[in-house]
Amino acid sequence: MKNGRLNARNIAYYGIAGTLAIVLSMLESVLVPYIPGLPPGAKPGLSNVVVMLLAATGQTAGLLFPVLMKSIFVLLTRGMSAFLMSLSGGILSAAAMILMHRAKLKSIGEAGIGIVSACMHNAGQLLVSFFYTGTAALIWYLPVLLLFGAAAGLATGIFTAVLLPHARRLAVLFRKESGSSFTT
Amino acid sequence: MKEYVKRGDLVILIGVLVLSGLLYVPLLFSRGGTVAEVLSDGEVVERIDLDSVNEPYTIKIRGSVILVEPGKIGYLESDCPNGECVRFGMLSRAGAAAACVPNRTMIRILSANREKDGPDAVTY
Repeated sequence: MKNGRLNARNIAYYGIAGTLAIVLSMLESVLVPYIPGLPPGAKPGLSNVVVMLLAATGQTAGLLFPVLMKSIFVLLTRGMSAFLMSLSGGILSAAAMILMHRAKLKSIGEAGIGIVSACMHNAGQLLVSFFYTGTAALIWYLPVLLLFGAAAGLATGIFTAVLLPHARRLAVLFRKESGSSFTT
Repeated sequence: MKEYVKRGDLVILIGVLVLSGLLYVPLLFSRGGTVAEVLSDGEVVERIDLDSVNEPYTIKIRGSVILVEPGKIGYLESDCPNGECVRFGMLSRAGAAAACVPNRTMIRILSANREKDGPDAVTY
């Protein structure tokens, strides 16, 4: 796993990615109360764009950095249950992204990957809520979460597709300079 | 737009929307439930017959205030960091539920066939 090597440049690169994820989720938590009709637990998922860009540029190991950093930030600001929801959603959605990129389906782009990963994120949050409430009663809420996951995932997927050429250039630059071989 | 949203993406989008719609159908047909339960740590601590509620009142449980109205129940306010439980609004349909995850509390409205607390029919 050459591109996941922890040299100084990779740490800097993933640190920037993690910081971006935190800033985007902060920005989002400021905006969310002003979006009318947004149901509980549903968020635009802007910080997912960072994770999706890393997944799309093949930095599979590195994408755990923004996922973990964001979850730890949530732990510090919103407590344990929100942390576990963020972590389980983050890991499930990252897994979905990685698998979909591995599958190399020609007709599926970032928008489709965004939709699936957003829905997986919401499903992960729902799973944690089952543990916390001791019942699966919140499952009735799944269709709402899927609907909003589809909308949020489509939006973040399109953002990712727009930003991807720039992220690719940055990723190549970093890998060349860090001396590790570039494989696609 | 076409370069950002491919055909497969549209298939996934429509698939998720259809799935969400199908899962929503049972809720559309569910009538207003009559029995609400308040749970704490997964244990039922209060059982309310929403039809026999005449005057709105509130219940305090673990930092949350739950409002009970005729035929409706919901979180009114809460000390949790996100206040997401309040955003569930007032519940009235059978099968609906709202939770305050940080406080480990939940309210749910039982579906009609579970109100009797036992099987409707037993066949051999």
